[in-house]
This record gives sequence, structure tokens and C-alpha cells, in this order.
Amino acid sequence: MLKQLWIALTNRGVVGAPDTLPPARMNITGKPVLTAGRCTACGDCARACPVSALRIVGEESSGGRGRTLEFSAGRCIGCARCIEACQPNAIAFLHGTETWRIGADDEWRSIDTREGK
Amino acid sequence: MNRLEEFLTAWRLSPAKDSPVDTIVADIEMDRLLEVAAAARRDHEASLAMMTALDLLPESPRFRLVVVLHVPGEKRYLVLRAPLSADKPEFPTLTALFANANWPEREIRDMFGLTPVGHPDPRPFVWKGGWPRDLAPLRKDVKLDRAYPVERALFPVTRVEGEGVYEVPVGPIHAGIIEPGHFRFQAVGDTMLAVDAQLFFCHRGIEKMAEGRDPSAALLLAERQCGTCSVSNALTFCQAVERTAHVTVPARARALRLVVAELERVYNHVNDIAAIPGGVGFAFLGNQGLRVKEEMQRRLRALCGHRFLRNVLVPGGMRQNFDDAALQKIAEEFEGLWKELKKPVKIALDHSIFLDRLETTGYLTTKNALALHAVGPAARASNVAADTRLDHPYDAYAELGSWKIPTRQEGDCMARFRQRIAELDQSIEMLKNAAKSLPAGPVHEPVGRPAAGAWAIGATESARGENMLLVRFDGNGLIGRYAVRTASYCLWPCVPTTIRGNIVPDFPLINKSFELCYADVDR
Amino acid sequence: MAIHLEKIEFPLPHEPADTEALRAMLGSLHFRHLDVGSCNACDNELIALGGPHYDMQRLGIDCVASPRHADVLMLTGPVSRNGLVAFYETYTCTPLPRLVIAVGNCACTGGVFAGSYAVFDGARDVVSVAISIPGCPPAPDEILAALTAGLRAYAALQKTTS
Repeated sequence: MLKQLWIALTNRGVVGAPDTLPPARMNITGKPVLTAGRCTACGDCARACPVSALRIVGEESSGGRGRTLEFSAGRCIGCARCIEACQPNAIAFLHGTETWRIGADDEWRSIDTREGK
Repeated sequence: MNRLEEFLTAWRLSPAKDSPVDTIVADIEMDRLLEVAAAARRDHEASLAMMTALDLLPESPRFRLVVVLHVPGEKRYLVLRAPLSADKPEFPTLTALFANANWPEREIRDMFGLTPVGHPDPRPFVWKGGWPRDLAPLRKDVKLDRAYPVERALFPVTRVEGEGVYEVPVGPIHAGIIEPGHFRFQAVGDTMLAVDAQLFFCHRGIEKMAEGRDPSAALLLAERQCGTCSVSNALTFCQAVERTAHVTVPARARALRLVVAELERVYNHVNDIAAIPGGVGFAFLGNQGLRVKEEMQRRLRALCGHRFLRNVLVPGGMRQNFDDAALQKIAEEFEGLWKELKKPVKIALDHSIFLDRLETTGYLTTKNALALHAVGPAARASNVAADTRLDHPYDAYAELGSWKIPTRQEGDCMARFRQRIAELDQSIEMLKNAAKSLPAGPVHEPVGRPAAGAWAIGATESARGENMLLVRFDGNGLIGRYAVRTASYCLWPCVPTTIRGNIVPDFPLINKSFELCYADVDR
Repeated sequence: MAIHLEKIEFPLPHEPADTEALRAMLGSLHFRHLDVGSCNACDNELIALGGPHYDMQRLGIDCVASPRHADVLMLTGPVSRNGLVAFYETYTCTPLPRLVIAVGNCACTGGVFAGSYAVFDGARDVVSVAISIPGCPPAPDEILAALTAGLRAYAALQKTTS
């Protein structure tokens, strides 16, 4: 908890900082993750998505913290247009084996956050 | 004056002003179509490459029949375009002239409600009960309601009658992991007399879906039409769009397109080399082939993020730029993997049972291959030296200098197996050379909005053969017609001609020696 | 949106299965692949499962020739209208307890083909889906995980009747 808070605090203003993560390649199998602190919930990715697999939820509150990005794995066709549209380079797809879901998959879920430097 | 222009002049026709790149288009009255097409076939050995219809509502006359002819030795396609009015929705069949007009004409009847008069086969083609029989989904004014009930469509099939003749129904769900198709074999004992193939269980309505979309949205459909031909289908589409917008693709993008197209060809041919021995139960080579294919696909994912090479192309050039060093590395690795696979391939080719099953099985005669406009490795294994990379060169293939595609004389399953081996050697060589001498520079040229009514034909060589696509734009840069004719569409009608006299258990082998795609045909 | 084939209404109802029966099937899982409009990328990944790298047979998983021998139907594609009869016949001749796994985004939600006149929007429109595997196409190891961990989790969620 404290660690996450620390990451969130230290990553503020990471936009435009030298990227120490591997470049966002168009690897679209697996599940999407956001690099901590980078997503500004601007909605560019949701607008770029041709199958509406991304959406912004929540109301704008002070500092823009009320808005978050949600993802529907069952809708995503892996065209990587969100990766291209994302100015702060926040979205990446990580290969993982546990992508299955029980039942029909048309649910919206918030996206996991990974640590970034 | 070129011989195509001379031909048109002799028939009092003149090239249309809107002739797209690499075509020569002539507007012709419907009642002269048959006559002129017959002359093109007689005098210039033209074959029917593609046939489709356009609905130009609200224009009058409303429909156009588009007949695309391939003339051997000519870089340009000869396109005959005939008007058709909504009051009299019929056209004379070309089946007596071009045997392969059979399928596209039946498709036009199902999808546009235009009747080919005199067509020998009145059975439905695309329609399998999924929507009302007379709906004609590709008409512009059709109302597509998704609440239609589904009907159980009956499949009237070609029957052979006589003592001891029986019928073997197979599919649409097969025993292995195969796409859906329904086959009825007519057999005496183990010997097949005829087969009737019913496809279109995979019909997803891609042509209709593409209408009203901009090129970037339609590209997603092109890439997902067939899993293993993502590059060739997307490339055909990009090429057609670029031709409508008069865009010249930068040199580096042209070279990179050759590289990705050849990477796709290599892993597809490796897959086929694994599938063919699978058809005779020679599991050893099958598994070795699957191993090599998996290794290749893992390298493709490392290169571009996708195991089936999606997301690499875009109209105007390449969506992804690659490192020269990374491409040289993958070319070398593919060569190494292919060398590894050659050892078990050699063992198979020394194996008497393997030879016994493949040799003299499933002859595709040169005559049938020519009559049905066979394409790709299957045609080349029957001594038809057709290859879009040579006949209608595109991208960096146009700058390769002189090269020849190998061909074979025999036309049996073994010939198609050996043909792929020879083509793999050639593709690996092409890959290595291309990766070594990649030009520098940008990889993308912006594509402007194509004019209303602009249209073009794209043609590329996929691992299975020539893929063609016609795209026509309405106003606002949106697609008005998206017509696809893939290599598998040409080759499927060849398969029934090869089976007579073979035994029923050899059908999977014959089928796999063509390794045709159902999704590409059904769309 | 209800779909009709003669008097049959889709989606077909959910069929409860008990935990013990599902557990028993997990040790030797037999699936039947059913292509209803796939672009064949998912099919290729299923074929790769049988290859030396993944070798599903070492985990007791096998692809069987007939639905009558199958525990699980692996659906690929958005469920084409032209393939509905084939789907229905295959489903009804699969013995109980039978599960449907939707492989790939087309089978999950219709994917890129959602909304077309010629397809339904995924397996959920015609049948109750046990497991969904998103991906375009899902990688073979992701499919393998669904067939092992996924099905175990599904079985654990069902009630034991005894």
C-alpha cells in the first residue's frame, strides 16, 4: 500500500521524462497494463479504439483523479491503435497466460497498473 | 499502341477515362460482352481473373457487371464493364466461355439478386439458410434486420447413380481442427467418382461490413479475413486504396512489404509441409513441421508483436518500421529453421510409403488449371507459370530484376509438395537479399481522401496464390464497394477435378496438398 | 435478441453440471473444435496446442473426432448464421455434462465482425458459455491455461448435488 503510494507520488509528472521502459511495441496478446502515473484519462485511446473496447468512466473531479480507464478484454481485437494514440505512452500489453474468464466475457474491468520508473 | 488497346479498337471500344493503375477498362453493352470476352479468350488467351457486380444506386442504369481478365504476358488487367438496369436484372452467363465464371456468377445471384441467364447451376451458393433466400445483402437499398430466423437449408448435391454407388457425407464439422465445409463423395468401393463441396459456413459478410467505412477501419477487416494471409489480404487492400488515391509508397516501405510478405509465405509453406504428411499419417514430419512453424511464429511475435503478422501494414506504407539488423537476424533464423526441417523432409522423400501415397495422387491437369484460372503453387506444380509477383509486379518485386519462379510438370500431390520446397528455398533467398539491402527513408506516405467514384484493383501473391480486391469509393472517402477474390476461391473448384479415381482416404491428402482456406472464400 | 431456428430458441438454456462430474472430466479432457466463422487464426493456435511445444496430450487434453466423444466444445468465430445448424446439431449430440469454451474475441463478443448481418455477436448469443478466452487470436499457452486452471475454477464454482 505504502509502496504503491510512493510510486504514485514519485511518478507524478513522468510524462515526457526519459523512458526507461522498453519501447511500446505493438504486442497485443495478453492483457493491458498502465504504467503508474502516466495515464491522464484523456480518452484518446477510447476514441481511437475501433471496437469500443476502452472507455473512460467517472466524473471529472479536482485534479482529474475521478476519471479512470476501463477495458473489455472480450471486445479487444488487438489492433494496437490505443498504443499508438496514447501520448504519454501509458498503455502496454503484457503477455500473460491467465487471460481466461468464467462465463461470457463482455465485462468491463479497470486496468492493472504496473510500476514505472 | 499496345495489343490490348489494339484489341479494344478492333472491337470499336475505347479505354475508359477512369481506368485505374495497371488496368485497361472498357465500357461495353451487355449484349456485346459475351462476344468480346470470347474474342479476348480466343485471340489473347485471356482467362477470367475476377468477376463481380457494383450497385451504383441512385445512378441509372443501377448495376455494373465487372469482368476482370488476365492476359498472359500483359502487366495490365483487361476490365470489361457492362451496365445492368434494375428493371431487367439479368446478364448472359460466361460459364460456357470461362469455366471458373460458375462461382462468381452464382455469388452475384445470391448477393445482388442479378440472374445469370443460362447458368448451368441453379443452386444457392453463399446462402445456407442464415437469412431470407431472396434478400440480396449487397444491394444498397436492402434493409438488413438481424432478427431473421435461420432456416435449415437443404443441400441438393451432384449425385452419381448406379449399382454399388454410395454417398459419403462429410462435414461441415470435421474430425480434425479444420474449417467448416460440407462434402458429399460419390464412391464405388473406395474409389471416388465425384465430390460436391459446399462452403460459406464461415460467411461473415465482410464485403457488406466494409461499405461505409474509411480505409483505416476496413483494414481491420482485411487483416482478419484469413488468419494466415493477414499480410497478403491487407497488402492487396492497401495497394487498391493507394491506387485510388494516387499515392506512391516510399522505397523503404516497398522493400519492407516484400520482407513481411515473404515471411508470411515462408511460415505458410512450412505449415503446408507439416500438413501434407499429416494427411498420410506420417506424424514425424508433421510434428517437426509444427515445431519449426511455432519457432517461426515466436520470432514473428518478437519482431512485430503478432504471431500472424497483423498490424504491420497501412495504406500508404508500413505501420511499423523495423530495424535492418532485426530483419537480417530473422531472415537468417528462418533460413536456419528451414535447414533443420529439410532433414526430416529428406527422410520423408526417401520413405517408400510416403512416396507411394503422394505420387500419382490427385492430378490437377494443366488443361484444367488453365481453364479454372488456377493460381499459386498448385498451378505452378501443374506447369502453369503464373505468379502475380512476376505477371503484375508490385512493391519491391517490381525492382527485383530478372528472376524465375520454379514450376513442375506432374501436377500430383507430390508435385505440390516439392513445389513448396522449391519455393521455400527461393523465398528464403529473397528474404535474405531484401534484408541486406534495405533502402533508408520514410516508411509511410499520407493517403489523401479518394475522390467519389474512384476505384482500383489490387493484386498480390499470397502463399496460396493470387489475391485480388476491388475497392470503390463513395463520397466522403468512404468505401462503396469492397470485393474480394482470393487464391482459395480460384483453387477450390480445381479440387473436385483432381479426385476422380482416387480413394476416399486420399481426399484429406489431396485437400491438404492444396491447403486451401475456407475463411478466405467465405468472407 | 432471441434467434430462432424452426421452434428452437437461442440462446440455449444454461445446463447445470455438478462439480464432481466436471472434476472427473478434467483429468482426461476431450474437446471438439467447432469453427463457426473463424478467420482460422484461432484454429491455427489450437493446432499448435497439438504440436511439440505445447503438447496438450501430456496434460490429458485431446481433440476428438466426434462431438459424441467430447466433454467440451471449443468454439472459434462469431457464430455465423450459416453455421448455426451445424452448431446446434453438434451441441445436441455432445453428451452431458457438456461445456462450451469461446476461443478468441469473435467467439467472446463477435469481435471485429460484431453487428454484421451474417453473424451473431459471439457464442453467448446462442449458448451458455463456461469459459471465455479473449485474444485475437489468444496465444496457445493462454488457451492451455483456460483448459486447465480455467476449467478447474469453473468446476469449483458449480454445486455438488450429492
